[in-house]
Amino acid sequence: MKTNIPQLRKQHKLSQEELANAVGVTRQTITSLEVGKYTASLVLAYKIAKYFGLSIEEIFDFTDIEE
Amino acid sequence: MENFKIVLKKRIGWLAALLLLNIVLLVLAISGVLTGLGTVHASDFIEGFQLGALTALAFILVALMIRYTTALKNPTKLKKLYIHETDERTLFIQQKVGGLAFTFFSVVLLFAIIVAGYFNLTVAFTLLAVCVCFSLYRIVLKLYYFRKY
Repeated sequence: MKTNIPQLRKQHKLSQEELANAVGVTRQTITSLEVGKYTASLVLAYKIAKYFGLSIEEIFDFTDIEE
Repeated sequence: MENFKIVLKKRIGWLAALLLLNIVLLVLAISGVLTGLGTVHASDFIEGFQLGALTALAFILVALMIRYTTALKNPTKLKKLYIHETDERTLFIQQKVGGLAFTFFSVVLLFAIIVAGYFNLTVAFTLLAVCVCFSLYRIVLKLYYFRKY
Protein backbone atom coordinates (compact mmCIF):
# COMPACT_ATOMS: atom_id res chain seq x y z
CA MET A 1 0.00 0.00 0.00
CA LYS A 2 1.32 3.44 -0.96
CA THR A 3 1.64 6.10 1.72
CA ASN A 4 2.56 9.76 2.02
CA ILE A 5 4.63 9.15 5.14
CA PRO A 6 8.04 10.01 3.56
CA GLN A 7 6.71 13.36 2.27
CA LEU A 8 5.02 14.17 5.58
CA ARG A 9 8.19 13.31 7.47
CA LYS A 10 10.19 15.65 5.26
CA GLN A 11 7.63 18.43 5.76
CA HIS A 12 7.80 18.02 9.52
CA LYS A 13 11.60 17.42 9.45
CA LEU A 14 11.23 14.11 11.23
CA SER A 15 13.46 11.08 11.14
CA GLN A 16 12.03 7.56 10.89
CA GLU A 17 13.23 6.90 14.44
CA GLU A 18 11.42 9.97 15.80
CA LEU A 19 8.17 9.07 14.09
CA ALA A 20 8.53 5.46 15.21
CA ASN A 21 8.99 6.51 18.84
CA ALA A 22 6.03 8.87 18.63
CA VAL A 23 3.62 6.19 17.40
CA GLY A 24 5.10 3.29 19.39
CA VAL A 25 6.65 1.09 16.73
CA THR A 26 10.18 0.25 15.61
CA ARG A 27 12.05 2.18 12.92
CA GLN A 28 11.93 -0.92 10.70
CA THR A 29 8.12 -0.83 10.74
CA ILE A 30 8.13 2.76 9.49
CA THR A 31 10.60 1.76 6.75
CA SER A 32 8.35 -1.13 5.69
CA LEU A 33 5.31 1.15 5.63
CA GLU A 34 7.14 3.72 3.51
CA VAL A 35 8.27 1.21 0.90
CA GLY A 36 4.83 -0.41 0.85
CA LYS A 37 5.94 -3.82 2.09
CA TYR A 38 3.78 -3.75 5.19
CA THR A 39 0.20 -2.53 5.63
CA ALA A 40 -0.47 -0.75 8.91
CA SER A 41 -3.21 -1.91 11.24
CA LEU A 42 -6.16 0.39 11.84
CA VAL A 43 -4.72 1.39 15.22
CA LEU A 44 -1.30 2.29 13.78
CA ALA A 45 -2.89 4.12 10.83
CA TYR A 46 -4.98 6.11 13.31
CA LYS A 47 -1.93 6.94 15.45
CA ILE A 48 0.07 8.15 12.43
CA ALA A 49 -2.85 10.18 11.11
CA LYS A 50 -3.43 11.73 14.52
CA TYR A 51 0.26 12.55 14.86
CA PHE A 52 0.27 14.50 11.59
CA GLY A 53 -3.20 15.98 12.23
CA LEU A 54 -4.65 14.43 9.07
CA SER A 55 -7.23 11.80 8.21
CA ILE A 56 -6.18 8.21 7.45
CA GLU A 57 -7.19 8.60 3.78
CA GLU A 58 -4.86 11.57 3.41
CA ILE A 59 -1.89 9.43 4.42
CA PHE A 60 -2.69 5.99 3.05
CA ASP A 61 -3.67 5.32 -0.56
CA PHE A 62 -6.59 2.90 -0.69
CA THR A 63 -7.04 2.85 -4.48
CA ASP A 64 -5.53 -0.66 -4.76
CA ILE A 65 -8.09 -2.00 -2.27
CA GLU A 66 -11.01 -0.21 -3.93
CA GLU A 67 -10.14 -1.85 -7.25
CA MET B 1 3.72 1.92 31.09
CA GLU B 2 2.92 1.12 34.74
CA ASN B 3 1.21 -2.10 33.63
CA PHE B 4 4.30 -3.04 31.64
CA LYS B 5 6.44 -2.49 34.76
CA ILE B 6 4.24 -4.96 36.66
CA VAL B 7 4.57 -7.46 33.79
CA LEU B 8 8.37 -7.11 33.90
CA LYS B 9 8.47 -7.61 37.67
CA LYS B 10 6.40 -10.81 37.30
CA ARG B 11 8.70 -12.00 34.53
CA ILE B 12 11.77 -11.42 36.72
CA GLY B 13 10.12 -13.59 39.40
CA TRP B 14 9.48 -16.42 36.93
CA LEU B 15 13.00 -16.14 35.53
CA ALA B 16 14.43 -16.37 39.05
CA ALA B 17 12.40 -19.55 39.70
CA LEU B 18 13.59 -21.05 36.40
CA LEU B 19 17.17 -20.08 37.21
CA LEU B 20 16.92 -21.86 40.54
CA LEU B 21 15.62 -25.03 38.82
CA ASN B 22 18.36 -24.68 36.24
CA ILE B 23 21.06 -24.40 38.91
CA VAL B 24 19.70 -27.50 40.71
CA LEU B 25 19.83 -29.49 37.43
CA LEU B 26 23.31 -28.14 36.73
CA VAL B 27 24.58 -29.19 40.15
CA LEU B 28 23.02 -32.65 39.69
CA ALA B 29 24.58 -32.95 36.24
CA ILE B 30 28.03 -31.93 37.47
CA SER B 31 27.89 -34.21 40.52
CA GLY B 32 26.68 -37.13 38.39
CA VAL B 33 23.79 -37.92 40.76
CA LEU B 34 21.19 -38.31 38.01
CA THR B 35 23.28 -40.42 35.65
CA GLY B 36 22.89 -43.38 38.02
CA LEU B 37 19.09 -43.41 37.49
CA GLY B 38 19.21 -44.55 33.88
CA THR B 39 19.74 -48.06 32.66
CA VAL B 40 22.20 -46.89 30.04
CA HIS B 41 25.30 -44.92 30.88
CA ALA B 42 25.07 -41.60 29.12
CA SER B 43 27.78 -40.94 26.61
CA ASP B 44 30.26 -38.08 26.92
CA PHE B 45 28.40 -36.30 24.16
CA ILE B 46 25.08 -36.24 25.98
CA GLU B 47 26.73 -35.27 29.26
CA GLY B 48 28.54 -32.48 27.49
CA PHE B 49 25.35 -31.38 25.78
CA GLN B 50 23.46 -31.33 29.07
CA LEU B 51 26.13 -29.23 30.77
CA GLY B 52 26.38 -26.92 27.77
CA ALA B 53 22.62 -26.49 27.41
CA LEU B 54 22.10 -25.88 31.13
CA THR B 55 24.98 -23.38 31.28
CA ALA B 56 23.73 -21.57 28.18
CA LEU B 57 20.22 -21.51 29.61
CA ALA B 58 21.54 -20.07 32.88
CA PHE B 59 23.36 -17.30 30.98
CA ILE B 60 20.23 -16.51 28.95
CA LEU B 61 18.08 -16.36 32.08
CA VAL B 62 20.57 -14.06 33.86
CA ALA B 63 20.88 -11.84 30.75
CA LEU B 64 17.09 -11.49 30.56
CA MET B 65 16.87 -10.67 34.27
CA ILE B 66 19.55 -7.98 33.88
CA ARG B 67 17.77 -6.59 30.80
CA TYR B 68 14.43 -6.32 32.61
CA THR B 69 15.96 -4.92 35.82
CA THR B 70 17.87 -2.26 33.84
CA ALA B 71 14.71 -1.35 31.94
CA LEU B 72 12.78 -0.95 35.20
CA LYS B 73 15.37 1.57 36.42
CA ASN B 74 15.75 3.51 33.17
CA PRO B 75 12.59 5.05 31.58
CA THR B 76 14.23 5.40 28.13
CA LYS B 77 15.22 1.73 28.06
CA LEU B 78 11.78 0.79 29.39
CA LYS B 79 10.09 2.60 26.49
CA LYS B 80 12.49 1.01 23.98
CA LEU B 81 11.78 -2.45 25.38
CA TYR B 82 8.03 -1.76 25.36
CA ILE B 83 8.14 -0.64 21.73
CA HIS B 84 10.29 -3.64 20.80
CA GLU B 85 7.83 -6.04 22.43
CA THR B 86 4.62 -4.43 21.19
CA ASP B 87 5.73 -3.49 17.67
CA GLU B 88 2.87 -4.70 15.48
CA ARG B 89 5.04 -5.77 12.51
CA THR B 90 7.27 -7.90 14.75
CA LEU B 91 4.22 -9.45 16.43
CA PHE B 92 2.68 -10.12 13.01
CA ILE B 93 5.85 -11.92 11.85
CA GLN B 94 6.06 -13.87 15.11
CA GLN B 95 2.50 -15.05 14.56
CA LYS B 96 3.39 -16.12 11.02
CA VAL B 97 6.39 -18.08 12.30
CA GLY B 98 4.41 -19.86 14.99
CA GLY B 99 4.13 -17.42 17.83
CA LEU B 100 4.50 -18.07 21.53
CA ALA B 101 3.38 -21.71 21.26
CA PHE B 102 6.45 -22.64 19.20
CA THR B 103 8.79 -20.78 21.57
CA PHE B 104 7.25 -22.66 24.50
CA PHE B 105 7.59 -25.91 22.55
CA SER B 106 11.29 -25.20 21.91
CA VAL B 107 11.99 -24.66 25.61
CA VAL B 108 10.07 -27.82 26.56
CA LEU B 109 11.98 -29.73 23.87
CA LEU B 110 15.31 -28.51 25.27
CA PHE B 111 14.39 -29.69 28.77
CA ALA B 112 13.14 -32.99 27.29
CA ILE B 113 16.55 -33.55 25.64
CA ILE B 114 18.33 -32.86 28.93
CA VAL B 115 16.07 -35.26 30.86
CA ALA B 116 16.03 -37.94 28.13
CA GLY B 117 19.82 -37.91 28.19
CA TYR B 118 19.70 -39.50 31.64
CA PHE B 119 17.56 -42.45 30.48
CA ASN B 120 17.77 -43.23 26.77
CA LEU B 121 20.38 -42.05 24.30
CA THR B 122 18.31 -42.85 21.19
CA VAL B 123 15.42 -40.73 22.42
CA ALA B 124 17.80 -37.91 23.36
CA PHE B 125 19.47 -37.92 19.92
CA THR B 126 16.09 -38.04 18.17
CA LEU B 127 14.82 -35.09 20.20
CA LEU B 128 18.07 -33.25 19.49
CA ALA B 129 17.61 -33.80 15.74
CA VAL B 130 14.01 -32.54 16.00
CA CYS B 131 15.20 -29.50 17.93
CA VAL B 132 17.89 -28.65 15.35
CA CYS B 133 15.49 -29.06 12.39
CA PHE B 134 12.81 -27.07 14.18
CA SER B 135 15.22 -24.23 15.01
CA LEU B 136 16.50 -24.07 11.43
CA TYR B 137 12.93 -23.98 10.13
CA ARG B 138 12.10 -21.06 12.43
CA ILE B 139 15.25 -19.13 11.51
CA VAL B 140 14.60 -19.54 7.77
CA LEU B 141 10.95 -18.52 8.14
CA LYS B 142 11.87 -15.48 10.26
CA LEU B 143 14.47 -14.33 7.73
CA TYR B 144 11.94 -14.79 4.92
CA TYR B 145 9.13 -12.85 6.62
CA PHE B 146 11.40 -10.05 7.87
CA ARG B 147 12.49 -9.54 4.25
CA LYS B 148 8.94 -9.85 2.91
CA TYR B 149 7.32 -7.37 5.31
